Amino acid sequence: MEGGTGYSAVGPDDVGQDMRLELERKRLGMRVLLETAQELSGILQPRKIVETFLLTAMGPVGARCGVAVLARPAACEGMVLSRGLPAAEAEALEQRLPEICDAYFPYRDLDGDFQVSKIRAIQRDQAGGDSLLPRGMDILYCFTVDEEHCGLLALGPLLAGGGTALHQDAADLLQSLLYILMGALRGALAVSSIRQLSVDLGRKNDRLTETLAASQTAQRRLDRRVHQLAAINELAGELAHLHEVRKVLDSFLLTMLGAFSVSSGLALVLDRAGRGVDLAIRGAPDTGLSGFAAADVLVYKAFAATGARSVAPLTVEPVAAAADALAGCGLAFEPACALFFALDREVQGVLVLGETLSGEALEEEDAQMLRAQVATLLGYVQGARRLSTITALNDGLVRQNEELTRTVAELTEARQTIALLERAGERVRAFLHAEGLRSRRFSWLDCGVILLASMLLGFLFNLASPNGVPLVPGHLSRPPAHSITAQKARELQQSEGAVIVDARPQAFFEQRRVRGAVSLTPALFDMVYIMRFAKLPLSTPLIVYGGNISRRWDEDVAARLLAREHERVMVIDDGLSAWVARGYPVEP
Amino acid sequence: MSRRVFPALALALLLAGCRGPVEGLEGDYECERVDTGPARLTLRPDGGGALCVGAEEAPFRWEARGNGVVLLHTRQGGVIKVRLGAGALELDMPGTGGMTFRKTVK
Repeated sequence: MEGGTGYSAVGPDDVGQDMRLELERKRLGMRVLLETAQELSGILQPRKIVETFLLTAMGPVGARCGVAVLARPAACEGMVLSRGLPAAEAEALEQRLPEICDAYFPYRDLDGDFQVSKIRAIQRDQAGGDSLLPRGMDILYCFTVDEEHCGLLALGPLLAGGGTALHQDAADLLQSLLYILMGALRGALAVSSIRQLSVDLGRKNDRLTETLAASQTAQRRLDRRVHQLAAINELAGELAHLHEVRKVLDSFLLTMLGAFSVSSGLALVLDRAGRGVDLAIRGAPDTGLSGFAAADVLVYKAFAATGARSVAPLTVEPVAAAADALAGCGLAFEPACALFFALDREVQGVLVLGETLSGEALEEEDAQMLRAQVATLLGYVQGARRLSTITALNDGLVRQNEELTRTVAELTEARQTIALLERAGERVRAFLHAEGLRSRRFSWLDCGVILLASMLLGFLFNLASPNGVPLVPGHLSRPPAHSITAQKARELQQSEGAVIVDARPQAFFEQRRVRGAVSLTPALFDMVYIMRFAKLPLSTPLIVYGGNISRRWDEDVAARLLAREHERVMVIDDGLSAWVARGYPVEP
Repeated sequence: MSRRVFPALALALLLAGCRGPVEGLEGDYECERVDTGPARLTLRPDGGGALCVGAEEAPFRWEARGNGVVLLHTRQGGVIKVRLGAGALELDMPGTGGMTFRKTVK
């Protein structure tokens, strides 16, 4: 290269020498280009490429100093590299990048007019940048790398002499080097751009992954929220039809366990005035919390853990550190979340939930929703309690109404009875009064009429009755039977086998009779006679006894026997009494 | 209305109370006793009847009561109780003792 600055007129030998030197320069130039291309091809960092190129370009040209600028004029950013300059001047030059861009890359603002792969050799006085570049750097080349990047190469002064103009070969070599530089820079910038794009894509991918994860998390939360809202919506419809506090609590607890994926829990309402407890428990056994004392302790501990100083009606307060606050209350599961609620100063309750199925604690939004649902529960519990009270009052009214109806009916009946009795009393009084007046009008005619009617009725009855007494006793209208003494009768019985006939009724006969006597009463005369006496010889003596002053059965029987043509029919004087008086045998 | 119903009801009760002989009891019964000779007891469907011993006959009226009892009412107003037993009538007549009348087969 140094030979390039010493041309002169010579002979034919010199021509061969010149041609040899020319070939040598071209070989050297090609070698430089090859080595530069090889060296730059292995570098991917634009800064390193520019540094290497600057060092490589200064040698063949023979420049003592060199400055290379690679910039993005549109962004007014880039790099300024220098060789052979003092450190302070090099540092100051790096600070002048915007001015360099304005001075040497004025076309940066021309959209669409950015020519790629163009190398322009610039005269320094044309650039107007004498104050920007160090003195002596008159070899200036502007080149464009791609649509965004362009560069500046400034060399000088040259080592050979003080000239600033390059030989044509050196200029061609420098332009070839610049093309190599531009190609290397394009490749490096492309690689850098690809890397940047890759990094950007990686970052975007990471952001997309994070966004996707966040979206999935949000989707899960949204799904869970939708599930909770659907469950709560169904719960609202279900609770509207429940009229008992215990059933309301049970349904609410079941829904909350499902909505928040909790395995166990309890809901409890305590009525201190009525000393009543309504308890619903799921996923764990009842450990006695349905009793008033245990439930009172649980509710009090829950209230104490809320930090509230007084019980406000229709409020819901979270229980802080539920596991510690409710320890020792007899819960059959480990409480993870608890809420204290109050309907009024006397009716309070607590909702306690165990751990979730996933083992994670409830999120803040879940806790807020749970609190809102418990607040909603208060309305249903209060409604159920009021309905229960109204039902009880209604039942009482129904009972009172029935009692009143019964009482009214009894009073009505009593009034009717009283009216009836009053009318009856009036009639009795009127009758007594009339009878009293009538008794004052007593007459013997009335007496006679009554007596006559009584006699007539008695006569008719006696006449119709088979056992009636004849108006005229039969024995008075017929001749009396032959009478004998008891002694004579005894003799006839013993001597002639006379048959003693007892004419008295059967009852007298069975009570006492003459030994061996036969009962033959007037009432059964026909039947007994044909059975007992029909075959008796008519000459057999028949001795009859039995009679008194009013009834002469012996006379009647004797008359009937005589009518049957018995020849010897006799009647004992004084009957059985005379027989007994004589001491004759009787029976039984 | 009640003025017609009550007399009719009273008449029905009266007629129901006047029970006649029990269907199936009517017929002839005979008793073979050595001391009294053969006796025949006749129960007619119209409630009449008679006890016949030889040529003698004692009429009566009869009615069946509950518990297997038949009462014989004589013309003189006497009453004789008869018990039903195994197709026979057991008659307890004062002065003659118990008598068993068995139904004759036609």
